[in-house]
Amino acid sequence: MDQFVMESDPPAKRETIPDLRRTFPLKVNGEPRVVTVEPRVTLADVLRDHLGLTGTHIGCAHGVCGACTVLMNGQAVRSCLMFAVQARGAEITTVEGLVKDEALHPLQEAFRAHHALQCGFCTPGFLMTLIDFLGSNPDPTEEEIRQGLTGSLCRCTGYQNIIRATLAAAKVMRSETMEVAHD
Amino acid sequence: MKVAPFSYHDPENLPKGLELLAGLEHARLLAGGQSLVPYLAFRMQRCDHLIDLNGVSALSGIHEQDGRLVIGAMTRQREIASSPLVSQHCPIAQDALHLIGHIATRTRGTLGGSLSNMDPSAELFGVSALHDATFHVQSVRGGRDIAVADWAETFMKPAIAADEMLTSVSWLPWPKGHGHAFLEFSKRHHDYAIVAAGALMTVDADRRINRAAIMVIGCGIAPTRLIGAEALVLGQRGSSELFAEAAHEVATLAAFPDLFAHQGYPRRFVSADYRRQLGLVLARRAMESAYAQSISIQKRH
Repeated sequence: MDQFVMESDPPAKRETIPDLRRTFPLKVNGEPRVVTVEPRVTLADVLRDHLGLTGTHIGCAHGVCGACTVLMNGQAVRSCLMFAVQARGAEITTVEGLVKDEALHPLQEAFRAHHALQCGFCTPGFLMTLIDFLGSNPDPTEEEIRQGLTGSLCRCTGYQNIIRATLAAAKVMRSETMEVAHD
Repeated sequence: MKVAPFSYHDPENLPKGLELLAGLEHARLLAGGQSLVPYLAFRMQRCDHLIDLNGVSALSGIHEQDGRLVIGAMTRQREIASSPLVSQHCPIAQDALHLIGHIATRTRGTLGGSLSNMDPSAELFGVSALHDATFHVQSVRGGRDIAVADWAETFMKPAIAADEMLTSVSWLPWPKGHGHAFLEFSKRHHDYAIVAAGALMTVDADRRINRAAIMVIGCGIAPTRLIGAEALVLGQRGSSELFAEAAHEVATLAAFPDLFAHQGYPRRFVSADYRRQLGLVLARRAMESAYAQSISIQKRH
């Protein structure tokens, strides 16, 4: 992040603080929700503090670490770099939405089997990034996975196992897609 | 830190957006937000009004018009990275896009946001310089075109008025089969580049260069087209010696602006000499790579 200071006019002083809150709908993990928040509140904070979905983690809060990554309309976004009001009407998927019928997603299973999480703080961001990545590249090379994961930081430095897990999960997910296609 | 309070405006069309921009004091436009939201969160920048352009669908899209490739200011980096039209006419944009941020930031990040933010390391500004871009800005007073060379006013500030908004960018396409290369050096993969270089090239049947565009970024507040290098390589067959001589132009550039010394700007610690050396090497490699590519493409035809 660039820590430079811009020259700009100071904001006008306010006599009173107006009520800036907005009420809007969004769909989270398939469920319609309605929230009332100030427009300055990020999507990450709404998910955690207003909707109780604490699976989405906030590491750096300025778009560097990738822990807060969620899917918006199927595409990975940094939920700390968006205001929640910008997600009005959108479909959001968080790590909680990966579990179907109490069964872990194949990617989660692979992370567990390959010891791809240590402290686990970064894991939700890795998982959501990889869901998007594997959606557009179902059979990636190791190098492509490394490129795809440059936006996610693991402070335990467990990258080797994350890559192994991703390769394994991609294989499982491909065979599942084929089964669906054959049905 | 959390963002300071602001009033949120979400115009559903461009005229409404321009009206808001002209009428509100201390207003900022929100494009992809991948730089602005952190600035606001760190309170390095503040605004009383935020005008969110994400609902203005007319600002997005890629099309051909009058022999140019026109890209709406709110077109996502992710869309540009996978666009067949961009791949056909301005493939170097896609070389560069793979070096910009990450999957999740490209989903939101826009072309116009990057160009208006005008970070000296912005790859898409460099691509715009190579493709002789024209920037179209609009306000309630009307619209006008600005050539890429006239876009920068000062450090991280385009030469537009407070009520003006970048609405689209047009790039001059290069012919099918041209060589293109975009190289950069950064401390971490996909981080801000310290210096980057790009080259476009075509050759004739005799392998002589008949068209070249070469630029470096990170050596000034805006991309620098290496006009001398472009002239030097014309009519020549490419060689390491030729490209090394051409790249020498980077070393002769005037002392890099002290603008990099802005308070808190992290890359300010990179000295001018270091930038020159990097620019020289990267420009040479970009030329070599673009030349090799244009030769190999020609062989196949």
